[in-house]
Amino acid sequence: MKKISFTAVRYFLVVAEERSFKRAAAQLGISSSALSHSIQSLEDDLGIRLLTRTTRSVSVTQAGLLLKDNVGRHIENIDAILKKFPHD
Amino acid sequence: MSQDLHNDLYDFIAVLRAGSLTKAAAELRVSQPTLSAKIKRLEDKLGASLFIRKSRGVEPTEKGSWLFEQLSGEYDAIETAMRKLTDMQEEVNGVVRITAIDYAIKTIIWPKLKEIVKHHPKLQIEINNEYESVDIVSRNFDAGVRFGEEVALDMISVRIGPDMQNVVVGSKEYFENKKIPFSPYDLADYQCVNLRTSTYGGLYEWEFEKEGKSIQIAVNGSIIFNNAYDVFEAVKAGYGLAFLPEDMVQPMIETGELISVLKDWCPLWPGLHLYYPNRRNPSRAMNLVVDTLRYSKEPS
Repeated sequence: MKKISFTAVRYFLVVAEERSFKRAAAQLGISSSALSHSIQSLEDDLGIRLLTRTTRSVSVTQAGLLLKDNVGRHIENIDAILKKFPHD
Repeated sequence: MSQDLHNDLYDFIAVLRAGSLTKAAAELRVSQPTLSAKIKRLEDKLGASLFIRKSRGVEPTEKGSWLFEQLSGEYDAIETAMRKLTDMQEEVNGVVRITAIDYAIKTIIWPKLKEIVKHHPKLQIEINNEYESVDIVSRNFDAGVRFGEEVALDMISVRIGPDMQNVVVGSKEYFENKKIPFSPYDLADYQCVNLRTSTYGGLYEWEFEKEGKSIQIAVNGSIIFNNAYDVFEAVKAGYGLAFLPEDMVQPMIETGELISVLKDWCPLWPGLHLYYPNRRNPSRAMNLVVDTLRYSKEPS
C-alpha cells in the first residue's frame, strides 16, 4: 500500500462533512482545485472512489463512508491526544 | 491544526518502531535528511524533543515515549481501515478519465475498453467527448486523444489507431446535375457542411495536400455542427459536402449512396494517439487502459 497522505484524508473528511467542495475549501483555506486534486490522488492511491461529484452536489460513496467512519474517529482521537501533550 | 502534523506524527511513529532514522527512512521511502527535517519540524511544533540520538539508533525521550504510547494504537487502526479499503479490490481498480473526440470514442476507445470493463468490475472509466484539445492535467483527465504523436515534453504519446485519411463526400442526390470538383479551390461553388471545433474557436478548415504542398480551405454552407456524426447525417440527407474520416463513410461509398471526391488531395494522417502525463508510478488501472488501447498492426 502506498504511504497514506493524512493531509488528503483530513481534506476528504471535511468535504464529506460539508458535502461541498466550495465550503470545504473555504474552511480549509485552500483553493477548490487544490482540494479536488488532493482527493483525487487519495482515490487513486486507494484505487477506489470516495466521492461522487455532480454539478450541484457531492455525495459520499460506500467506500467513502467506510473511510469517514473508521478513520475520522481516530483522527479526532489523535487531535485530542495532542491537546493533552505535556508542554513544558 | 496544521495539515502536515498528522503526516509528521506518522513518521515519528515509524522511526520509533524501526528504532533508527536510517531504517525508517528506507521504509518510508524518503531520504534520511528529509525524515530528520520532518522530525525536527514536529519537535519544534510540539516544543519538545522526542528522541535522544544514540550511536546505534534513537531512543524516545519521556515525552516521545508518552506520545508513542498514546498514538501508535490510533495509527494502527487507521492503517487497518485503509488497508481494508484497498483490499476491497485485489484486482485492478481505480478511476481512469479520458477525454477524446467522439470519432475516437466510437471507433477505438469504447469498442476496446468495454471488453476490459467487463472483466474488471472495480475499474471505473470515464469518457468525455470533446472536440477541443484540452489541458488534461488542469482538467483532471488522465489521458487525452489527438492526431499524431506531437505532444508536450512532459507527456507520453501512444499510438492507438492506424494511419487515417479524411475524404470529401456528398450524397448521390446532391451530385445530381452537378459537376465533380477537381481541386479544393472548386469547393467555393458547393454547399459544405461545416464543423465547429470548439465553443469559442473557429470552423474547421479542410486540410488538403498535393505534391508536397499543404493547403487549408475555409468552406461555406448553410449548416454548422460541432460534431462529425451530425455532419455525417446531414451529408447522407443530401445537404452538401463534408470532410469526414474515410472509415466512417466507406460503407456508404461502397453502396453508391455517397460519392467521394478530391481523393488525390486528401492527405494520410498519422493516426490517433493517446497522450498522458509522464508519471513515475502510473496506476495499474492506467497501465491496463494504455495497454488495451495500444495499436498493433496485427488484427486482434
